[in-house]
Amino acid sequence: MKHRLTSTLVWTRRVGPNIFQQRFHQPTIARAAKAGQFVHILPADDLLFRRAFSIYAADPKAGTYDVLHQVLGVGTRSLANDPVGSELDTLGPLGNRFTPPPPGHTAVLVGGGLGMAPLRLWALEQLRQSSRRRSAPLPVMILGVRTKAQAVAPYQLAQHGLRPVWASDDGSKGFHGTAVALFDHLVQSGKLNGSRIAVYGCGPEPMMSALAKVCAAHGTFCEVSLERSMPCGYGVCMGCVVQGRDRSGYETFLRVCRDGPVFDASTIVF
Amino acid sequence: MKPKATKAPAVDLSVEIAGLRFATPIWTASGTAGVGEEVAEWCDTARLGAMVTKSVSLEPRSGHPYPRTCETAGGMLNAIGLQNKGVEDFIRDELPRLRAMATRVVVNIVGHTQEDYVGMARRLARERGIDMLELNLSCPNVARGIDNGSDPAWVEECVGKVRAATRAPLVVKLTPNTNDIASLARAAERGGADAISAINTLVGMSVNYHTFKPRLSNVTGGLSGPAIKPVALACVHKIVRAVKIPVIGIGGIASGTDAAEFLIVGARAVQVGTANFRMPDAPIRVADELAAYLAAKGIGRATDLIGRLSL
Ligand SMILES: Cc1cc2nc3c(=O)[nH]c(=O)nc-3n(C[C@H](O)[C@H](O)[C@H](O)COP(=O)(O)OP(=O)(O)OC[C@H]3O[C@@H](n4cnc5c(N)ncnc54)[C@H](O)[C@@H]3O)c2cc1C
Ligand SMILES: Cc1cc2nc3c(=O)[nH]c(=O)nc-3n(C[C@H](O)[C@H](O)[C@H](O)COP(=O)(O)O)c2cc1C
Ligand code: FES
Repeated sequence: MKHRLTSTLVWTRRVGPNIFQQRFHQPTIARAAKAGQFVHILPADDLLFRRAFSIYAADPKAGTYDVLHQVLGVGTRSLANDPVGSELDTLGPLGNRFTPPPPGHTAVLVGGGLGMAPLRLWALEQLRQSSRRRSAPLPVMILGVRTKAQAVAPYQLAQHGLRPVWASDDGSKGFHGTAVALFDHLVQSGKLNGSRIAVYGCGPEPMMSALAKVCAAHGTFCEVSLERSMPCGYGVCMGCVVQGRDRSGYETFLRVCRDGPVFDASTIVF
Repeated sequence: MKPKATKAPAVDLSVEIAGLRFATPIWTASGTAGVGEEVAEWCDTARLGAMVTKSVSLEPRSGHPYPRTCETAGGMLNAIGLQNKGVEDFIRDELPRLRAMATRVVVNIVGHTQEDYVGMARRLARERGIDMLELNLSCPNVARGIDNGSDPAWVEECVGKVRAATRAPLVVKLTPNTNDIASLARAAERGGADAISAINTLVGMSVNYHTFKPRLSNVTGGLSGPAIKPVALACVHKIVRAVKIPVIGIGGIASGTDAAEFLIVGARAVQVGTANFRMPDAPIRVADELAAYLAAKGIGRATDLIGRLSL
């Protein structure tokens, strides 16, 4: 049986404009967390619903996990203002996880804005894999932001030899254009081999749609992590749906909280 | 906030409806607990009064496009559109799991026409493991859902036909989107209902003032949650005085004292809906809190609270 758990706030750091990283102590979640999964946190007693956040980091030894979030409304504002030591009612880890790339394939992680949150944990899991099996290629991380100020550094990656490639809408950081345009450019120019990579995306839905199309065109395996307003987070309300397609092409609504949030991009009708 | 395990005091919570005993008067509400599988991951279903399934229809329904829900003051709007896989898939995939649960199973059915309801009742009458049928005559999110359900003559005729088609105890779930819910309850009673459940959601709407668009793809939706509790209590109060059959209260119940209010007004059981979204173990918590409340009041049995309203 799953349990509601108390997550204790360890610290909060402002890491960008309106962007906060928060660390919580909750050993059960920290140990179980897999890249792609999320926690459903009740930010305040007077709010009706919980708020979903991807697990950005997890330290099973210390029993902590991190989330990275942007203050948008009452829930995220309340979280960001919580004092250290606050105890929050949490469900998690919830949802499915990213699927490892086929042997010999390079994982290419494409994130937009805060979409990098679940990808960072995935990159670390991949890095651990490649250090265990020397032949496994290092993942590649492509991150897109609107402008330089929003480029939150995914710490810890560099010490494993992974430096993200940046793209920005205004050209202030790295490639001038979107992360998907940069990805397409890297494939077109032969820097990435379309048939030897597995792509993992997280970001705004138009971006995921574009990424799915580019990958379909290159015949590349692609998983996307999607976001929906989630009243329950564990599969009972049918509120968080996305239009999907099963193997026989039959279109149906899938629950992002339980059937996802990670989906094979070819099963989603964007 | 710290999730605490509450220990249930020795109070008899069991109630009887239509000749069946229920371990507690706290059931799940249709559409808010899936078909049991997910809820069973978070709470011991043996401690539920009954599990009421999401509405099942004859044919599969895909439901409305996203966005289907939005938060409002003290509540939520939903326009799910009765997404379900249809009765045959339900019987094959879901009923066996429900049957295996140590709780009573109430299957909520919905149709476009009276014949749909009759067809569903006949089909389900052939299956084991269903304790009751709940007729959803009140969904605000589908064409004709409320039109039929707010016409007493139609309600009486529909319930009468279903009554003739099955021996299963029948609960008729009513809409509050009417000016006279008591006459709907009387119509259901005349048609042969064993119990009334009330209320379904209230028609509501929310607008995004940045984009000028409705917040739900279906434009309007059903309002539920704490915001509707006073409306639901008033409806139950009216129905209890209008009919002799038991009434099951629904609407904004999230705590033991919420449930107590409904019992005091005369409901013999209650269903927990929107609260399940916030707390996956909500019905168990509500039952534990109700037991604690009764113990504190020196009331030994839940049935002794029913109808104690002092006017
Ligand atoms: C699986 C998943 C993972 C997520 N991971 C992250 C993350 O790592 N970092 C991050 O910053 N955000 C993440 N989000 C989005 C985050 O849940 C919302 O930003 C947050 O719910 C906004 O809450 P609020 O109270 O501040 O906003 P309000 O606008 O006050 O919220 C009102 C309601 O709308 C819902 N809502 C509003 N915006 C969103 C949104 N963009 N997505 C989903 N629901 C929304 C809320 O849950 C709430 O029910 C994730 C969402 C999902 C579904
Ligand atoms: C997301 C959602 C889906 C629902 N689906 C159904 C349904 O399929 N059939 C039904 O009879 N009622 C349905 N309802 C209504 C509830 O069963 C209940 O009557 C209503 O929500 C009021 O109770 P509450 O305030 O405790 O949620 C639904 C309610 C919600 C919020
Ligand atoms: S959030 Fe309720 S089903 Fe996904």
